[in-house]
Amino acid sequence: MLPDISNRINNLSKALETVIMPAIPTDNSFAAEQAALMLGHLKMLDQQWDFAYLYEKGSFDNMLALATRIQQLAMGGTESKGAAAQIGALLASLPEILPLTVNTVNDLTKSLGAAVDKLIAAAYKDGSAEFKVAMLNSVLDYNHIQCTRERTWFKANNLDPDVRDLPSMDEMLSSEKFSYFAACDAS
Amino acid sequence: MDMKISEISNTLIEPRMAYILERKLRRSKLGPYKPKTAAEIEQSLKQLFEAEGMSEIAISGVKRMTGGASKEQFLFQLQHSGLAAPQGYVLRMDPLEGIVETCRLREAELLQALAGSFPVPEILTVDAEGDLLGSPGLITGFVSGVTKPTSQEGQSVSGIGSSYGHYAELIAPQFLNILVKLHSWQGWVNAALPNYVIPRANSTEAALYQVNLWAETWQQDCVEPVPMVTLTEQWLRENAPICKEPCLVHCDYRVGNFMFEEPSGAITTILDWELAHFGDFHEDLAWILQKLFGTWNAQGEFLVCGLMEREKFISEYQCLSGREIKPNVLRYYEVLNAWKCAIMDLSSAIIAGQRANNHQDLLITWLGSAGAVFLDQIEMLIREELPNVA
Repeated sequence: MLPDISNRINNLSKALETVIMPAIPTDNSFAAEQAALMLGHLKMLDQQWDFAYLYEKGSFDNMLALATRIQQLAMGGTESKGAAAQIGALLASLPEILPLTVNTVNDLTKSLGAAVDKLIAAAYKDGSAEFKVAMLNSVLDYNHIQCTRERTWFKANNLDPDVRDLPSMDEMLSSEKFSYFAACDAS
Repeated sequence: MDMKISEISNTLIEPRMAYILERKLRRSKLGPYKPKTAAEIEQSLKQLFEAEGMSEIAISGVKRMTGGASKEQFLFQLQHSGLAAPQGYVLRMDPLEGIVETCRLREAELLQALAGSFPVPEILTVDAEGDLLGSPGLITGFVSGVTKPTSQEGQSVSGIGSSYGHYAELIAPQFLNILVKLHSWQGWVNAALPNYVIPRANSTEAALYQVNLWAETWQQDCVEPVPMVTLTEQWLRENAPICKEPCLVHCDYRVGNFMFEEPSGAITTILDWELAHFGDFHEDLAWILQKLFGTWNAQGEFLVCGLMEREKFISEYQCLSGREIKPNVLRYYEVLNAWKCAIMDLSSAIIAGQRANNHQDLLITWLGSAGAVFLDQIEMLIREELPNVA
């Protein structure tokens, strides 16, 4: 791929930083702010694009693990059983080989997430007390790992007060510590 | 995920806010939104002031204000036959969609009611439906001051993460005093606030009005499922605390939302009342305590809103107000507020940016990327409650 994506993003940033931003009149603070945000987005995109598939696949794996776990745990009335059965059907229909683009993997994550949401809501209607507690713990465990991934993915936004506690992008993507899928597998 | 509020029965939502959410759904289809030019604003303002009965109107110096992740804001000078000299005003106008959907009419009613008792901007007029401005808008008097020390300019987005340096010691006591006074304000009893609902005392309504409003916002704006958001809604319903005595809460009382003078450090105005409602005072405290609005000082201590340590804030509030802060209720509202912020970031900001319906699509998309910070907070807070969950 020539020119490659990093090359083009960096060219965009340079043009913005060295030509366009200095040309913005000093009294146009809105344009200056927008340009600064553009530059920030471009720099973040440059750090992210090459890992986007790996990141999205990790998010899918985590949602898959959560769906599987709470479906196995489900106990209670008809709503809980029905929602668990829907997850079961969805899991059975997943492709053996994942699609190869970020958006198509994200579509699968979303469909699993919608089914997980239904089971969470059902658990609060007629789930057994035991299931509710187990489900709550599962969602919290999943959330802890997935949030750490997302906060790391976006740590260049400078909006995270605990940014110093986050791993590097490489570590987040490669270590099993940041995979709920691996954590469920191990247990 | 379109869902009409009117279709939902047995939920507590303030009627005006239910209308605002329905209106947002309608307006979201009018996009994409193009930021207004100074000439367009000047023309719209002239139309509005003519309709208000002003004559010999001259509008000048229309200038867009930066910041403001939810409203489009402009400074301008107005002269008309009733004024001896031109005066400065601020126009706050709704884009088609933003990170949060609120009501200019409610904001105007409240500012009117608070005038004279609190440092708030003076209302000139409101165009609640945008009949003349093109979008709903509110015009207030210009107030002097800065939202962050001049030496810190350009170092934060929407005031978040601002450090006040030596001003912190000057501002902190005023920040607390105004908050305490606000929570004890009884002026609402005789004020004209027809678009507000006061939750019943000694009930869970104060919490449930908020849970219902934000649950509807999530349903309306949801881009993709987030299990933690769904779980938290259920948790909030199940754990809603009783509020003995609802009071006015600002609900965005934080760094970046007040102005002060340099070098005195005197607070001149409290801004952004759009999220204000009647509820539990713990809700305001929990908002102020959010980590996103704080900073770390050179000694490695975390400062609430960049002003003071958490324990000091809590103890001084209790001492000044005479109110007892209940840790479990405070934690509940910390969860509620983090959940609200997660909804703003992960649904409203993202969908507005996707539909290009905001004047600052780039900014709200940037802010949207902080959603996981709030989910992480919620998880930590709920884990503290876990022994009682079963």
